[in-house]
Amino acid sequence: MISNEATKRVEALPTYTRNIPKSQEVGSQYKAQTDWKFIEVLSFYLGGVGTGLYLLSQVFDYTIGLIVGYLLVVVGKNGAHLLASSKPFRAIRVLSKPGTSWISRGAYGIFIFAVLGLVDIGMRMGIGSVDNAALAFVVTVLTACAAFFIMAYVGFVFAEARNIGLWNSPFIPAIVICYSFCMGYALLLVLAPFTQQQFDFSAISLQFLLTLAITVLMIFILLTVVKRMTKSAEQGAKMLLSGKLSTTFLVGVVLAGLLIPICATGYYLANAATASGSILSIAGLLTLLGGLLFEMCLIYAGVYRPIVDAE
Amino acid sequence: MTRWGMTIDLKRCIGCQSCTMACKMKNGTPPGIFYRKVFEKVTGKYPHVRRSYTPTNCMHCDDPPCVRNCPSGVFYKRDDGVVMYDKSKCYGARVCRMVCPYEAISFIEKVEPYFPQGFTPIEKYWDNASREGTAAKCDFCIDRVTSGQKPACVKTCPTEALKFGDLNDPDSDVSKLILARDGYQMHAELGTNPSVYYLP
Repeated sequence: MISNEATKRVEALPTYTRNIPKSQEVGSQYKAQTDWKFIEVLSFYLGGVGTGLYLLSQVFDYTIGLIVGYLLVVVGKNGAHLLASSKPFRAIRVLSKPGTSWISRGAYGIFIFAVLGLVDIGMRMGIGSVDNAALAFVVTVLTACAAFFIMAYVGFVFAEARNIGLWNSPFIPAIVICYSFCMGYALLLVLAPFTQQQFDFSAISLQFLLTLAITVLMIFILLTVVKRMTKSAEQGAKMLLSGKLSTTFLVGVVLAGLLIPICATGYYLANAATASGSILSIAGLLTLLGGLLFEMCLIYAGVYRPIVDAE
Repeated sequence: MTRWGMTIDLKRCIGCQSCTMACKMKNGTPPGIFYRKVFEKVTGKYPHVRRSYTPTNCMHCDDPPCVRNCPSGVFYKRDDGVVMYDKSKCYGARVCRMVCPYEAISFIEKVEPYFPQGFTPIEKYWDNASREGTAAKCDFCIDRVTSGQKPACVKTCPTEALKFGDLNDPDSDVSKLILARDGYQMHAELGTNPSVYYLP
């Protein structure tokens, strides 16, 4: 029979008698992905901003916006993708699997956009001798479809990762699309004061406000729903709300990137006659910053399911 | 049609890492790259502590997310169910690592020699420099399998915790073990249908 003294001695021992190095337990721990870093964040961000601006510039017939949007996608996004790749000279190979791979499909979208976008901008600027309204309309529609596809495919790339709970959600493609439109409006509002073109700022700011509000709602739904989906999704959401990304997410994305622009745009709309247009530009800049931080948070909060100990 | 598969007996595994070393030797992987890993976990509170080992490698899924999602077609599935890769096609998008639920794909960022004196003759033989910036993973030692041998890890395991065989043959060791021991697949809920079964 064990004496009381012996029992006390045993109870006083630490939980583990040997310190197991963390690396040996890694298979059973939740951890965030580390393969995609800031350069990937940048490529997705530039793609979102560029396509958002391009689509809105088509609607508002804003040539400067079309050119900036086109360059952001074709030069910025593609450049960042090439920098992120370890074998950029094999980039053409990404066109190999459009049947199953969303990245491959996105690459086709970018290729079509790069060609048709150039034709679209050229026709709008009157370059060349093509004077066919029907052809111009077809080119515009096809370019818009390609731009929208580039905007959307990123969300599906994320959603395909079945082992990363936060990404494997049907809300992600919707949020990515909403955010791209937000950033498109934001860049439009930042660029507009520097150009000669006249805009109906009341209408644009109302649309911007609605897009921001929908984005906030979508993010709220995602974080509410995702917590109940899987444990890895819950861990990802926790990382955003109370973990190491919480300051960036809550202050940078939610407050500075969404709520302040909503208030600023709302204020502008309420006082359209007297309010300064620079309020909208500031709201736009904050949304652009928030968009970059959102992409960062989304990618860095991609928490895997542990290999061992299935959920 | 043959479907190669593996069983891992968790009761027999003693965590000796022989399979890990055999795999490294067979495939000549650079430092820090393991196609095969044995995870060690301690559970419980003293005095009721338990240490368990879980060896993992590529699960050679029936519906492999890497094959589907790789944009450059690096990964492909053979008729016998083995998921192979072609390093010469790798663009370095790393989406394979994102979508693999088993963390089975290694990305060889930079190849450095094992010893400060430089690459040894065996490292030169494996031409590791050409693997730099590409994805790599277990291929069930398909060259050995096609010549009638077992994969290096299975051959080396001192406790015979690993078995290799045809999952489609009801008389194979693996099929019998899965049936007798209630073998399960890791993360079966994800619908990838792995060819590696764990025996509890």
